[in-house]
Amino acid sequence: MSREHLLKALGKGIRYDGRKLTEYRKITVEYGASESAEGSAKVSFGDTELIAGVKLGVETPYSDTPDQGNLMVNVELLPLSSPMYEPGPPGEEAIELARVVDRGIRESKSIDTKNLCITPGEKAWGVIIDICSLNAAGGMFDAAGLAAIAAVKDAKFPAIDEHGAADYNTKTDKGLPLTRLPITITVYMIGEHLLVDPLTEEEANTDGRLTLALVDDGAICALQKGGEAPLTIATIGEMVKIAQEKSKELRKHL
Amino acid sequence: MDVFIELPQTDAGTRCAGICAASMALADAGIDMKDLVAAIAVGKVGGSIVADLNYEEEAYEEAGGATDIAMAVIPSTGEISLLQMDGEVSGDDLKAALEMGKNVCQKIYEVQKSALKERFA
Repeated sequence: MSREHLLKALGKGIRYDGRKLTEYRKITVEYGASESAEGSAKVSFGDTELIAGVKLGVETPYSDTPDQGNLMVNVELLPLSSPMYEPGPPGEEAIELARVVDRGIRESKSIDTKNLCITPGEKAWGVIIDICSLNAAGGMFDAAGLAAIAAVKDAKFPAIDEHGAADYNTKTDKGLPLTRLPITITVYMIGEHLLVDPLTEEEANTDGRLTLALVDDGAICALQKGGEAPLTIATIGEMVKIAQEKSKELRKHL
Repeated sequence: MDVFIELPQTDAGTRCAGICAASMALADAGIDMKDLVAAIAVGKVGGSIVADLNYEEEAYEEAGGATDIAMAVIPSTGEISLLQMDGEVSGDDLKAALEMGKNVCQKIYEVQKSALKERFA
């Protein structure tokens, strides 16, 4: 598929699968996809499919934040999910994906980390979000962001046993202390066209992209630019508008 | 081409200072470039839009806290080649902060140019 052909089609507002430029594929969110995780969700955007799971563990807080629990996001892009992914340590794409998801959740202060503290300076709950790809068919940033936040929403604390350790066999009905939920939206620029939720072929032709995390009122709580092409302030403004609009739509799937 | 950046002392804005320095080092090395790159952190601290946040400002927690927006600008076109943000901001404030950053980057550009000119004078 040539770039020229793609640009011509986008110029007419047509995409290869018949969608509009700012239209997402069919989105599904299935909670509780993993029994062993404290919370989990399987999310699909068209053929793109991934699982996010939350593990909660009793950890020692960091010395500079003795009264807070920790948050960690890992992404594994499994070779079974795309011919582009190799086995071994996380590559650049997995690291960026994890950082973008981490930023969205951390900066929206969606998890009240002070409420994760058990004994200041000694014990606090650590929240580990694991995301792994089942089928990568484009638009991974937004799918990973939605899966992560759905898993966080689904998570229930395990009980604590008499030694102060987590008893993973007993789940409580207490969920994570959530204040608000960030939605991750990435707007892609191909030539002069702005679109969301790209297919693999569209993504390969992306010149620039901007990932935004948005909270309920449309305020932006994280930004990350990717791709080689620079963006003008006017383009960034358009991307923000698209993201604000689309975040309302994606939020409904939670 | 490898660029190495050392930070002997830091007080926030390290990414941006590193970009300014790296782009000058590339020019100094005689690498063909479209333009230099100037970078600055802008943001909102306690309700005001400011440029070049230091650690104290980055860590500000009162009145809505701090928003830290790292941006790099290609001065000849005014386009943005790096954009990362932590904190919280409305669409309008983001635009105002980016405009401020763009202006500041023009000033940094002048300093970069004059330093390079001096070097080769």
